Amino acid sequence: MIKITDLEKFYRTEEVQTIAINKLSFEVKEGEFVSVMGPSGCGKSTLLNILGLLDDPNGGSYLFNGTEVAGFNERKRANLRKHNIGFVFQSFNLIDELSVFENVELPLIYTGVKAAERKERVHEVLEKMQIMHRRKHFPQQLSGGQQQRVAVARAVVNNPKLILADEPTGNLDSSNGNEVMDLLTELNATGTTIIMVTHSEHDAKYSHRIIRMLDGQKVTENILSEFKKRPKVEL
Amino acid sequence: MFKNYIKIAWRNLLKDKFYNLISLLGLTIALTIAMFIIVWVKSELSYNSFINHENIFRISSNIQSGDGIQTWGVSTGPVATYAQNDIPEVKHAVRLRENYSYRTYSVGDHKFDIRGAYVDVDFFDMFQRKVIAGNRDMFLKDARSVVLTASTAEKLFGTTKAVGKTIKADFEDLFTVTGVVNDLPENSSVNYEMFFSLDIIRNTYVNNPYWKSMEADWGNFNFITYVELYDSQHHKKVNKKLTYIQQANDPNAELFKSDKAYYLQPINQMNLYSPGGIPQGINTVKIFSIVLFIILSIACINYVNLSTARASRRTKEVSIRKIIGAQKKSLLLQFITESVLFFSLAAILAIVLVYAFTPAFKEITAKDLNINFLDGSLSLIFLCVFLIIIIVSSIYPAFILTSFKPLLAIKGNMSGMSRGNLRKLLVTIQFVFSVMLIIGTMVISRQLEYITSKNPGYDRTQVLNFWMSNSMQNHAATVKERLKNIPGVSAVSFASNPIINNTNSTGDVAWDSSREKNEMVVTPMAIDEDFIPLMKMKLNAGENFKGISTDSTHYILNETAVKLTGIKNPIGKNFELYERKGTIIGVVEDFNFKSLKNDIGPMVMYYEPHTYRVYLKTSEENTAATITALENIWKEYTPDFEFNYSFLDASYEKMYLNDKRTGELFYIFTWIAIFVSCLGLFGLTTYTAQLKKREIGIRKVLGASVFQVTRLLSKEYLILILIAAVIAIPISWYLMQLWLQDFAYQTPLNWWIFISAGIITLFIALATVSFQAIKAGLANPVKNLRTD
Repeated sequence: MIKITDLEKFYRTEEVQTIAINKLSFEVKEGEFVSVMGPSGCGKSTLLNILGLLDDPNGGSYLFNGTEVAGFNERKRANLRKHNIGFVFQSFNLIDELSVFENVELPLIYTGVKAAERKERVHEVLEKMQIMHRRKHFPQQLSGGQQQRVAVARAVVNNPKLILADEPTGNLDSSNGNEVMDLLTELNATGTTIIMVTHSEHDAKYSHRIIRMLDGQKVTENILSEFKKRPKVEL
Repeated sequence: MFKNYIKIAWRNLLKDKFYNLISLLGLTIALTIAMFIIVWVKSELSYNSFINHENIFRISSNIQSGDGIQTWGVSTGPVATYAQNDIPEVKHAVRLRENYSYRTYSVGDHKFDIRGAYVDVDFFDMFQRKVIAGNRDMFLKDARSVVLTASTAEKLFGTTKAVGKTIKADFEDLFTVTGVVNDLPENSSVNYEMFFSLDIIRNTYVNNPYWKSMEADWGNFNFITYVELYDSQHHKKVNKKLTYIQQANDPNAELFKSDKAYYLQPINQMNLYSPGGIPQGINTVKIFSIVLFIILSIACINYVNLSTARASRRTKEVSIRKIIGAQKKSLLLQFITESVLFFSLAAILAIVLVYAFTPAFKEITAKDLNINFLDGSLSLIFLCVFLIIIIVSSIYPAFILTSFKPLLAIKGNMSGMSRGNLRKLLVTIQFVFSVMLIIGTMVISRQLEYITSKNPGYDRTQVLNFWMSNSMQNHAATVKERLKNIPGVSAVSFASNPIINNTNSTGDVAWDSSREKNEMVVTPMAIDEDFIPLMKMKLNAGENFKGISTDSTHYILNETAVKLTGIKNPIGKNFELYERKGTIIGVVEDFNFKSLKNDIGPMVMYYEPHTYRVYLKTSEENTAATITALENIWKEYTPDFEFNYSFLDASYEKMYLNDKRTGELFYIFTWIAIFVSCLGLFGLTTYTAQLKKREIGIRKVLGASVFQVTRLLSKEYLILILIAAVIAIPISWYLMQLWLQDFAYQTPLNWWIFISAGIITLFIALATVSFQAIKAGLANPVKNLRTD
């Protein structure tokens, strides 16, 4: 599903050039659950941004479902993103001014889904995440675990092929963290591809494979369990 | 999606109450003032806006005066007659003369005040009056006919079916109503209520020693003449023909400018331009339009500044929307929707305020301004202004808000967000406006003060004056003695005209060298021997009238008249007025006998012991008793009429009432604009102080004093104000010069006005800024560092 080859990203200030990704290559198959680990500043988040089409690489190739997307313009990227990719962040990133229902509904609005269908799908996913009873609440009225469940609900409501998770349990206690990881595993079991950046060895164990990075390069790759391709199930 | 935008907009509005309230308050006030200014400007510009106004002109006369030209808004009787009969391009030519002959009108026992005018009967066609009652062909058929407007007919008779009914003027003369027409617009130069036939004036020529008839009287400028042309483009041609006719027929042809005896002034320019077409009130209209622009700009700047400053608070939301898949277009639309919602809210509040303050506004402007939001043209103007300010103030913040990289913004890296320079620029522009407005207020109030306190060349304190009635005038000598004996009256004098605004004029003058050159038009004034001493006027040469019979051939000229005639050593030299030969016995120092908007013209005083206007010098004590005594004498001679009098002081102030009102209006608008400006500044500094909380905290921990923190936050604005003052001073100097052109006598534009305007702005701005700065300085640094 994803194939990157010799990917490069550097940041330039007036005097210094910092290399964030240095000729990185790897592949992620459809339905796979991959963790990316490494110390702070190793380029994990930059990688995730590029994979999520939020940032442009400076060099190399990025094939998404066989299409080269490295040179896409903002409009094309936004289009690809809203139909194929869901995001889960460490700090949840819910919109404070919108209720739980409205936050989850947002991706459907941008993909032009009709109101009646939106309502149905949001309710469905909220039921699945067990936060239906909180649908009228605003983010500040929820616990961290609940907020992250809403964020996951929002990420999956459009039924994306790929979920990118940036330290999804970083702001949660262990029991809430485990719940979120179970959720991601369940999603993966239905065929959704997941790439997760994490510092936690515990969380990484939920995945099939761990890519370890240092200074923008891949250092090692550990296979934890055998990945068998399953057909993607519609949520 | 749209619903979602509105929802978010509404919630944001409620969430950021403080900033939104500041923005909303400023915007609402600005829109309210803007609507009032638009209504005022529109009313000024819609003067005389008859459907066919483009084809109607007033004929002004270009009179030679010394080496220059004076243009008067009046003309002589024959002009209209010739224009109508001999110039085919003229559709109608109409004379109008305000009626001063009658004071009181009565129907049965009821007395009425009515504004009347003598007109040619074509007046009703030219100004397209609808006939409500009567037969148009019978209108003003003789000297005893009158035509009323509908509301006057209602006022007098309770109905518009008033044809055949009679009105008594001054309890003697009976007039019959021959027609009723629809009312004339208030905002026009022909807004009269009753129209008399010109035959009344025509009949006064029967025994006239100088002129055979009104149609042959080229010497008296008694009328306002309006011409309606078939095609407005022909006005130059018509002027040429009029000049030719005048030069061929007028025995005083040399009085006029020989190549262009007249100026055809479009009637919709009569209120804003002098009769010669020189800008007068139009400069005030321009200045108010600038104030309108300034106020709206200040409000827009506030909005832009506060919304871009707060953009960082919205970055998370925008980033998430972008990550989820929102495209820039939909985000732009979202923020523009928010602005539209915000501005609409302000507009609704402004409309409420406009309705609430309309009575006050009408009182200040003394105009019956019609503010009707359903009126098509007015609401179209409002809508355009509204759209422009929305576009101006929503697009930039929307672009700022949607332009940043989503992940950087989410992670708090907002380096690209500060846009500090643009904000500084906008704040500087606001300061420029503030300095300009303060200078404007100072200059205008100084000019008004200057005019009202300027010594006009005579003493107007405690001088009471009134018009004598006919029966009183018949016993003038006795009346004068009786008035002198009233306790508190120290002097009594008769003169032919009001001294404050003497609009009389005649070209019927001659002196030894006058046949060769320097013909001039003078303001004549008949006075008695007590007038000059009563007014404490100064005689520069010669002597005053003595009150003896030989005075009837004596003249006193003012300095300007002497200068323009070119007579050297004038005392004892020949002079002739109204074909009465005599000698100059005195030269009076120039005094202002017209508004200070005009230069002092030539004046000739001649002797007449018993004219109609009475001047009394009274003492300050017991004025009421003096007036009662006067009234008693008046009643003895004229029991049916009310005693109307005025004090020169009061009349003098009244003459500048319009200017005073304009000044007041400007003053109010200025301070409101500055207030709105301060609101924005207050919001901005509150925000800056919040942003700098951490910096202030660290500085305080390291030992900074409250003063040093205040200085830190205020310093920036000090520099901006200095820059603003440098920009504002030359612009306001230019604009104020423009405004002062309306006045012949101008207050000097002293340098200190400009400097102090800068200082006042500085003071106001620092007061606004330091409130927040001191608050930030006093805050507990530990708390600020912890909450960061």
